Amino acid sequence: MSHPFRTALVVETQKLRASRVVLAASVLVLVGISVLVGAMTAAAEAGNEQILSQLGTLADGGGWERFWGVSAQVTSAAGLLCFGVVLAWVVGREFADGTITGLFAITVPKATIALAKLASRWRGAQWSQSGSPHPWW
Amino acid sequence: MVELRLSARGLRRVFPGGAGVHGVDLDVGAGQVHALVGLNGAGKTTLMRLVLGMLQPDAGTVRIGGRDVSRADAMTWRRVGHLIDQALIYPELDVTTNLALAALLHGVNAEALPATIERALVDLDVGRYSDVRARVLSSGNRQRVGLAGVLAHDPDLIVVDEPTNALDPAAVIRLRDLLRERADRGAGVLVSSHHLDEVARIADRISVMNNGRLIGTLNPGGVDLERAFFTLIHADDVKPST
Repeated sequence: MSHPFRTALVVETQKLRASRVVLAASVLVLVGISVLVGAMTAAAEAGNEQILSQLGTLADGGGWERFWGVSAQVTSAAGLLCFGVVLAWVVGREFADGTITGLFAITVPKATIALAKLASRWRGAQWSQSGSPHPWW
Repeated sequence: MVELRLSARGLRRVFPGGAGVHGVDLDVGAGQVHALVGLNGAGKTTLMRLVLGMLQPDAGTVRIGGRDVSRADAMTWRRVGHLIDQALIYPELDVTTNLALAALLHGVNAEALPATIERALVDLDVGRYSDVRARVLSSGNRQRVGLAGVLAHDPDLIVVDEPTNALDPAAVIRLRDLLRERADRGAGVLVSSHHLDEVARIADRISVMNNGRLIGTLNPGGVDLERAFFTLIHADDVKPST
């Protein structure tokens, strides 16, 4: 019998990779960040006072320095939002789809499954670059 | 003496309003199909949730393979297959992957996975859907896949709640044969159903549940089970509460 965390990670990664919700959230976040950063940088360049006051110390800079500063600000807020949405989904879907009863009375404890849900995003990204060594492993 | 796959003693769980399970003793032996029958709300599903550790009892104990459920480890759960309410099926995954994940979660090794999946596909006759995403399957075929996942790891104890829901007559017969075959090979089976004639064909013991208690048994080989069932229910309903 395999290690419970390894098993849970394989299961959660498979679910995450096949999920349209995660794909849609990722695309929306990427597009949203690009639009927001572009719009804020352009508005700052045009001298929009409301945007400049929101940017704080970044408003004093210009060019790439301001662009990267705005990008970091927007990405951190959007990343947190995306993480929250995906986390709520990966847990909530077990209840919405009625699969939660199937996660009882199995060899993997529920706390381990919860941990694997958090870890699966990193593992999924790793596999998408290198490929899984086994179809389910 | 028959080895007990499942044993519950004095099991009680009462919900606000009084519904629930009120002191149930239940045994499922190796090689035995034990059927639970009762009206809606009798407490069959609650009882099954309690024996699988999905609900904490207010009182009483449950032992699976001799081990207390509250301290059950992975080796204990490795020997259990269950389907309560919804099957463990993810709509975005194809049938093969769903079966693979169910087998992994029940302790099947990666090396044994291909053979396990192949057997599960054949057992419930879902091989033609192996590459199909579960979301496009009919509810009957989803139920077949769910049951395939329950039986794939060859459990010693099978707990299934209304397993014939949404199944066509051919699948009902196939499932009946599978449960009987698993029991004949030594598994203990606890199955709930509303269909008396259906359970009579496979059960070694039929327990009748009413208002959260086991109130009697029916003879699987008896005639007019329906009359015997309602006689028990009526006698229990008119009995003064103690």
